[in-house]
Amino acid sequence: MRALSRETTALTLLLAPVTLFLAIFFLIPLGIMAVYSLLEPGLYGGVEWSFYHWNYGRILGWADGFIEEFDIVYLQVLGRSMGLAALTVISTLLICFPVAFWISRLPAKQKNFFIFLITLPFFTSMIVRLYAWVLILRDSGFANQLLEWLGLISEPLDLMFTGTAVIIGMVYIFIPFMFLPIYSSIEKLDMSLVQASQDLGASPFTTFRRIVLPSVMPGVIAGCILVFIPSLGNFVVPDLLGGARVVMIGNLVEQQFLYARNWPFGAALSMVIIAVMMLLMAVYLFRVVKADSNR
Amino acid sequence: MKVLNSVSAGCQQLTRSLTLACAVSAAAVSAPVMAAEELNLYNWGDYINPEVLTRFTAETGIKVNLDTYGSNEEMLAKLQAGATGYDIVFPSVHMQDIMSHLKLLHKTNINQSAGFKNIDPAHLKAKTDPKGEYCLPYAWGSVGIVYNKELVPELNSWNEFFALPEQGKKIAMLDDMREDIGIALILQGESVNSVDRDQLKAAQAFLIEQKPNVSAFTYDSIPMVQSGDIAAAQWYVGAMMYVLEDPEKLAYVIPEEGATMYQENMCVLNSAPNKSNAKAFLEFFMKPEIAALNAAQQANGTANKAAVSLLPENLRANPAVNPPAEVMDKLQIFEDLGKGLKLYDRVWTKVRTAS
Amino acid sequence: MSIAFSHNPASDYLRVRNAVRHFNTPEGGVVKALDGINLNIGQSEFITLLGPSGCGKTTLLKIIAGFERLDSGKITLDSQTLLELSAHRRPVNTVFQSYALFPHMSVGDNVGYGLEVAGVKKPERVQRIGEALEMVGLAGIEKRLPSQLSGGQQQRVALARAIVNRPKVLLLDEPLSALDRHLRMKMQIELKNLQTELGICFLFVTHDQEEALTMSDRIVVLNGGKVEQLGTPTEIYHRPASRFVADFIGESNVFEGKVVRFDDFGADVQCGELLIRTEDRNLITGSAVEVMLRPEQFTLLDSSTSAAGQQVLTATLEQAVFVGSDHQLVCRLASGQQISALVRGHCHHLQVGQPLQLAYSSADVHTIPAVF
Ligand SMILES: Nc1ncnc2c1ncn2[C@@H]1O[C@H](COP(=O)(O)OP(=O)(O)OP(=O)(O)O)[C@@H](O)[C@H]1O
Ligand SMILES: [Mg+2]
Repeated sequence: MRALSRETTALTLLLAPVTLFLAIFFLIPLGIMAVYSLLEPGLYGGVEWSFYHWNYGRILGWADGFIEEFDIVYLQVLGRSMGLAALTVISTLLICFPVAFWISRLPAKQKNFFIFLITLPFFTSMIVRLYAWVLILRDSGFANQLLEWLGLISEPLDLMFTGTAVIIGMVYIFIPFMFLPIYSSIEKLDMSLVQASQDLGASPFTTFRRIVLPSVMPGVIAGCILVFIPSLGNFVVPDLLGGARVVMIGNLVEQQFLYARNWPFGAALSMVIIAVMMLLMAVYLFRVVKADSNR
Repeated sequence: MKVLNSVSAGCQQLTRSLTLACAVSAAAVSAPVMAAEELNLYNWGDYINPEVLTRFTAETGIKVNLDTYGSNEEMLAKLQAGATGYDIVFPSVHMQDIMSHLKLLHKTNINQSAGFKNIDPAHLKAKTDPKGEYCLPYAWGSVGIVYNKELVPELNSWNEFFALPEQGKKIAMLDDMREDIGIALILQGESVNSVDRDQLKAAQAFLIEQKPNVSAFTYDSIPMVQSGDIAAAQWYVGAMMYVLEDPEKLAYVIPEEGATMYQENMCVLNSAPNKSNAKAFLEFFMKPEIAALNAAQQANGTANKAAVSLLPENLRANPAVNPPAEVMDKLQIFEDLGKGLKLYDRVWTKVRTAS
Repeated sequence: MSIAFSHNPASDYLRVRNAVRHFNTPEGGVVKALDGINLNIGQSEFITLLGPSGCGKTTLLKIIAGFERLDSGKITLDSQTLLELSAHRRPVNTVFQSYALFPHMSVGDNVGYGLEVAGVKKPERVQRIGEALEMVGLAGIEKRLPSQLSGGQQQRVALARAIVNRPKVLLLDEPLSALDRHLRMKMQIELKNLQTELGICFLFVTHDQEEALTMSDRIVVLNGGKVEQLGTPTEIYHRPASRFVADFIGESNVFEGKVVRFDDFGADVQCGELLIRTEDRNLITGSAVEVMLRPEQFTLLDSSTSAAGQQVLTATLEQAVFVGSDHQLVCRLASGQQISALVRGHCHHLQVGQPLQLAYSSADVHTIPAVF
């Protein structure tokens, strides 16, 4: 008992700086946002220090006393952002899963080379990389030139400023976030389990479904979360490659803090995004805990 | 002996003046002596001719530091968040009014300076500063249409602009709430500062109707107009810079229905650490040759009457840059909307969620 | 070879013919993991593969299981060629050295996995899982996860998971190496009993010669990808076919020499100053041989015992170590060669440096043809 409590004390002391760091750089800003989301917007930005209940109601569609009509436009934006994030997750997953398996089978040298290639984009700015896609996708861009040169098309394809371009950009930006966790879980995969399954008479497909998939599942889920969360807030890609024709929840927050000068509403929107993410995390954690207690 | 005496007298005098100089500079040290040699500008990106800064430093010995922002709101948010150290900012007129309400601006009495007689009073547009006691008009221009002449031989109006997609030609608008709603209001013959709900509803309907035809809402349309990927785009008069480089291919027009105009003023902040240097810079900028130097490089308008005649021919005679009075009358400038901003915000969100 | 076959008339159930597998190493060399292996194994034999690390034991098992290919050669099981079958179609199961239990499945699901993928219906499956677990002494733990078991229990589950499928051959790659000595000895006996009970062929890999000697019907001694000897434990121990086997299995005293005389009852071998009598009747004068004596084949002569009918060596005692009931004596001959003897009884009176008379029977002396 004594030893245990001493260990706990030591642990508390050791973790204190980290906890403090988290408190200062994570919880305090979060707290400020939470408080702001319940205040009245200042006329020129900032907040008036009086309670104001319209911010959350407005997200749900109710009029805020100035605009009378009920309109769920903000929920639509949230829904669209979640849809795009989900689509990004699915697309990156479909690409990364087989590729990660393929790469994990390569000789060490080639393997490292591919890992290097995949992490390479981290070293340059996202905006610069997205402008490269503008050069590729526009009517007179490389993609259309190539297709024309190959004789596949005679008129340039409409790629730029389309949903396709947005998906391409999103997938491109978030591929490393999906690839790395999946790859590392595949690398950790115990090949003797695969052999054991084959040995017991399971076909390659059954082995994959019953043994490989459950083993790499934590990596897949981590990848999905790592892609979903930043995708939800991303608006740079829809702006640059989609021509800003659709508004994402991220645009909306930016719009509120800057152009609409409505900080409390922006804060309320952010709180809703955070709540959605927390909910997803909670579902995931709940599943993991349940699975663990089953063991 | 005499010689010797006079030498010693001279020495005495020299010593006295040296001591005095020391005392003076000591006093200067106790006041921030370093600050006396610096000036910190906070400006839009690429919105001043670097040559202007070089000349200012050469003339005064004051070192100029330049930091940039992308929008009025970004600049305001940064200042509201407590950023200090900037001396001069370049807000648009409506933002100057907001900043004035927020008591962020320093009263420079720049209208008392000798050079102020060169400033066209028509450009004292800020409601909070009708006499120019605070800020100095910096630059102005229209927001019209830049187009690719290879794809569109001639373009004169917004109606022609919005008809282009029917001919399979792509158009782009600015990713800017005020500008886009502003065009919709202009086309209905309303003020770009209208906070009338019905007028805004009509503007919203117009923009939603046009939206499927607009390929992109972006500030980065110039390269795509140059490459022909976009036929025409709503853009600032600064596009003249590219038009003059390639007049065969590009053109800029102020549409006949009218257009919005912008004007930025140079304002000294209350929190400015180098207020006297800042005022020196405003005075420096009132020199016609300096104002002309800047306008020539930026290809936009100047409020300095004396500078206009110093501009190169292709700008001075250019109706887009120096429009005739009847065109001037059709240009509207943004004002702060106060609470009405919320209406615009809703319209803009509706437009951008529409499919 | 004829001796080896004589113990198992029906020993062509599992046949390995000229199995060759060479690996290219990254350093650019070639490892001859299997270098022409021939084996004939019976339907219900307990066969141990024994040999130093890297001799190719695991490679051979993997090839039989289907996880590794053969460069050339042939393997048949029950008159069926194995090599064309992919791993999951072979009637062979493996107990892995690391157990390789599926961590996300319960013990029951682990054991029933092979049956499930083979399409065995649930009621039968449940019954056979229960039986298999009972066989390995773990009845009633179906619901647990592998992480909730001790090392020994995991080992048994791995065993149950393999035998529940009733394979024609069970391959075991050092299955006991992770267990402590006590548990290991217990498992050795249980494994042997299980094999007898099931009556299927076990191909068991070990490093441990003692384990091999106690459990096997026959032992395959491998070295450098080649079979050194295949025989019963007694054959391997007492009549090693090569110097390598003699050295590898148990302790041995080997003397190099030349046959100087032979007659109808045996031969005399001159090993330096030593003349050793053997009853091997296949030797001819002049041939170079190595003669071997196990330490326990010596007896210690003292004044009370006579050496009637026995050969005697004289040596100086260098060290005496008490090993349970026996004493291990390290002695040196006049020639300078060190020999080791294991003698029974009280030896406390012996002193280092004292001369000893070590007797042996010429019937025990085994000769190995010397290799040049
Ligand atoms: N995939 C491979 N590539 C290259 N060499 C290999 C490969 N697999 C095995 N070898 C080599 O083949 C030889 C035999 O290996 P094997 O695993 O069969 O030995 P082993 O007898 O099981 O040894 P241990 O008792 O240490 O397990 C070794 O020298 C090993 O280095
Ligand atoms: Mg091995």
